[in-house]
Order: sequence, then structure tokens, then C-alpha cells
Amino acid sequence: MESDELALRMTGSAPEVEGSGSVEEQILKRALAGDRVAFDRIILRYERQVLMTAWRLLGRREEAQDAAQEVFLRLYRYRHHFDERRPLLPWLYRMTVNVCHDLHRKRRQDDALAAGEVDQAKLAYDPAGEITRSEQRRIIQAALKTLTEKERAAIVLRDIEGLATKDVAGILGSSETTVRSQISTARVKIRKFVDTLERKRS
Amino acid sequence: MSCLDFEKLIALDVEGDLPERKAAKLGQHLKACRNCQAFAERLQASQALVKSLAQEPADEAMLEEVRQRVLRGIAAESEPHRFQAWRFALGAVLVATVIFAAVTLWRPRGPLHVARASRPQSRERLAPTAPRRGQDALATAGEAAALRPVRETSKQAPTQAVRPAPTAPEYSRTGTDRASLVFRSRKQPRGSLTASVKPPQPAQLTVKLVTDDPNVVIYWLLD
Repeated sequence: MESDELALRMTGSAPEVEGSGSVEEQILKRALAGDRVAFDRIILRYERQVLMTAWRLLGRREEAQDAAQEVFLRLYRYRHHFDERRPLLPWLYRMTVNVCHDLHRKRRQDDALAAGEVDQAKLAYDPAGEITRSEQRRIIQAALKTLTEKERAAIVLRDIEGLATKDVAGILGSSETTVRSQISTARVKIRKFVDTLERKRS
Repeated sequence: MSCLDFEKLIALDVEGDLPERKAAKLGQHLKACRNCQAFAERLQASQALVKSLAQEPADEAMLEEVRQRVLRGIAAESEPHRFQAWRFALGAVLVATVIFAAVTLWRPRGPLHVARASRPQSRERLAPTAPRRGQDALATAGEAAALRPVRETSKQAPTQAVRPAPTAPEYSRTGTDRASLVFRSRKQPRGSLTASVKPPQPAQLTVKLVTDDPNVVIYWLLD
């Protein structure tokens, strides 16, 4: 079982067990039946995706942790209603987006924009004249804050989490056309944010 | 289409999200527009940055903290269920106690009360059978035994025993009730027969016996 778990964490896909479905399916089945140990493994398996997605969507570490916690608690609460034949990850992404939306709504909306401006000012200062890798990530993180909530969700799921447009549409409950439009707008906005930053540097 | 419109197509094309027909149209524009070419190159660079976030390693301490918080949350959510189970058990015990107490303390009302509570509709219902019951319905030995003193009394003092019917006559609903009435009237002349038995007098005790026929009331005078 240890090796199975390792395989789960490293590859993200579970080895098939002859005649009884994958190990992941079995673990999910047990977790949904209330097995705490199996549920712990489900958290281990998916916490990175949930936490990092929440972090991208909210831009704050503490809030991302709160969101991730809430997502797994909701999975536990609604485990009896979850169809175990359906893949868990899209459900987790959808729940993450919903929880982040709730948290975002609680937080006042102008807060995000203000934070983006502060980051931009901070990022414009570069004494060495070079952008390190960590700084590049900070720039993108700041650029994400300039997007609308829906654009941000679309770009995070499509470009950072690497999901197909069709899957993103399913998670967000939108049409593919809408998601494509949101993705397109978001990419242009990010590019222009970086352009603005580079112009300030030069 | 302006370059501004093509920017959106470039943003889709850079990750292969553009349908073929539009991609071909964009390709033609890019061949002719250097600004859009430059924008496409810059967009690819920013896309590389965006996608690099996916490789960013997660903070293990952060992940562990989330996991512990979830497990604590699950444990905390299980607590109320345990408490609810206790409350349910306590409630069940209370209900059982109340039912037990009610059953223990409840005293069924005797037939006399039925007789005393008899109402006109009961009389109407029983009226057709009343005359026949008055004499013939005493089939059981218990009833016969119960009414024996009445008959004897009737023989001994017929003029006193049979009187006109009272304005609100008391009578038994059934023959069994009547038997019980007579039986009780012997055992508890001062208890449940308060309505039927006249207050004891120093010299003479009068027992009032009610028959099925509301017109027949028997008084039993005891010395």
C-alpha cells in the first residue's frame, strides 16, 4: 500500500488492480464511506492542486489555506452525495473556485486591485536590472490580480493547471466560447501588464 | 479587423485554442503586420511565465498545515454527532419514563362512572333493547347473583322500591355495567356510589339501583 500511495503522489495516476478498479478508486470509495485513513490519503493526493489553485485565485497564502481546508471539509460533509464513479479532481476544482468566490466576495473587491497596484510598484524596483525566476513568478502573480474573477479562474485552470478548455468550461459552468473569450482577454491583459512593467524598468 | 481584434486571436492561437479557419486568417495578418508579430512573440514569452507557475513547488509546511486543519475539522464535525446521539438517548429515556409513569399512575374509570356519565343519546340508542334487558338480559350467573338482592327487595317492599323515573335517570349502558354497579354498590356504598346512594342516615340506609329501563328505579332500604 505504501508503494501505491507513493505512485499516487508522484505520478498523479494510480496503478490498475486487476479486476477491482484502480487503487485510487478503491481509496476514494473507502474515503467516501467515512474511512478517515483513506480520506487522509485523498487529501495527500489532491491537496497540492487545491491549495495552489486557491492561492492563484486569491493571491493570499492564509486565505488559500482556509479555502483548501473548506474544500476538503465540504468533500467530507457531502461525501454521501458524491458519485464515486465520477472523477474527483474536476469536482475539487469546481469546489475550489466556488469557495474562493465566496471568500473573494467577503473580502471587499477594491482590496484586490489595490494589492495589484502595490505589487506592481514593488516589482518595478530592480537594482540589478535582471529579473530572477522568483521575481517573474511574482510579476505573474501580480498580473493575475488585475484580472476579473472569472478571467482569473479561467486562466488558472487552463494555463497553470493545464486543463483543456472543455474541462474548464465544465468546471466553471460556462460555454467553451465564453471560456475562450475569458482566456483570450486574460492573456492579453497579462501581457500588457508585463509590458507596462518593462517600460517602467527601462 | 483591426490589430486590436487580432490581439485576441493571437492570445488564443499561442496555445492552440484558435479554430483552423481563424488561425489561417491570423497567419495571413501576421505575415503583413510587424506589430502583431512582435505582440505574438511577447505573448509567447508571458505565456511561458504563466505556465512556469505550474512548476512552482508547493510549500510542504503549508500543505501539512492544511491537511492537519482538515483532519481536525473532520474530528470537530464528528463531535456534534456524538453529542446528538447522547441527546437522542436522553430524550428516549425521558419519554420512556413519562410513559411508564403515566401507565403506572393511570386508574381506569369504573363502570359506575359510565353510568353516571350516561347521556340522553346513550339512552336513545339503548332504548329499544332496554325493556327486554330489564328482565331477560340477566343471563349470566354473575348478573343474576348481582341483582338477587334487588329482586328480594322488590318482593319485600314493592311499593317503596318502584318509583317514578327521575328527571335525569341513571342507568347502565350494558348488562355488565349494571352487574358491576350492583356488585360495587355492595362493596363501596359510600365511595363511587355517591350519586346513587343516598347519604347515610343514622337510622336507615337507602340504596338506589338503576335498571335498563329508565322508568324503573329500585330503592333498597337497609336498616
